[in-house]
Amino acid sequence: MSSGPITWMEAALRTNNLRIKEVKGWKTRGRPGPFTPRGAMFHHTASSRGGGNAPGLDVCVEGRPGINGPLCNILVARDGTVYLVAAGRANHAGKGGPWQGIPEDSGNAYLIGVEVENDGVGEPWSSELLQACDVVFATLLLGLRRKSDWVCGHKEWAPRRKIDPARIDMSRYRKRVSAEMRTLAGGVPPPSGDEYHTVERGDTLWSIGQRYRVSVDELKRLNGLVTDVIQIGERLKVRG
Amino acid sequence: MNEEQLDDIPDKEVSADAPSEEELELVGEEHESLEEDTSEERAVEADMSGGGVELQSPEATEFEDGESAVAR
Repeated sequence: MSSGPITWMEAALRTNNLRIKEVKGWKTRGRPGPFTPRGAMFHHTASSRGGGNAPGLDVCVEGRPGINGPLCNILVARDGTVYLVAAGRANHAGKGGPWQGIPEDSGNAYLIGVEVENDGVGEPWSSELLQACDVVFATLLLGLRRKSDWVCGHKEWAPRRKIDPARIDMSRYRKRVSAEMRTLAGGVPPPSGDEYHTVERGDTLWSIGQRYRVSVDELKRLNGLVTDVIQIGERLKVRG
Repeated sequence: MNEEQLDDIPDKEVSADAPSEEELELVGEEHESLEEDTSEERAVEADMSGGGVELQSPEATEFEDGESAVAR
């Protein structure tokens, strides 16, 4: 099961045809404390709709007075561009829960934070933006080997004080994510020829297998592995 | 609190031959016994969604590809 920095998300998201921008230092950015993600949380930034494409980015990276950044792992801009903010733990969930077995006030430890640019007071969710969000959540959950049940709205985590993502029916939204997961998992045939992956911190055979759409057993067979133990820097054949 | 107004988000179609989530052998709602986070920042949050946080298009953000700032 995936744990630690989620550096694997970059290759996975690129595979799924999203526009990706990597904020400098994202792979090592994170707050202290445990981070073993089980799912992902959907937030909106409440930025003014006339304020630009990604006005929340600086705050998401650096934090704000009294609250240290990163404040999310991913920011999805109004045009659907996906900004990779942090691979480590982020200060995003706050007080709330329990939810799906995640203990009270422990969301930062178990949920990937996804902020999406929307003013939260009536700005329409464009089809382009929703599609990007669908792919982001589907990719994250496939990487975590989790069903669509594991997309949590911040308003579900803290229903008495949160409204984000505003105007989104989370039950219905999870069905969209489920559909996207099924499409991504069953869609594009893998390219032919040998392909390799260099193991990064946080990688597991599960996450690598998901990224390249190959089973753990096949990864072990391709690389002559007899256990699930892999080392940072190890070059693994993922196709061939 | 007033009842929330929800947008009419369209459902997505899935190819008939796409695998189900069950066939993908993904972990569902079955609850694990997860340890409570006792670290110092366990309940810290962005708190952006309620507004009141000044957000401006970033000018100084640096990216891994060497670019800076964000296309507006």
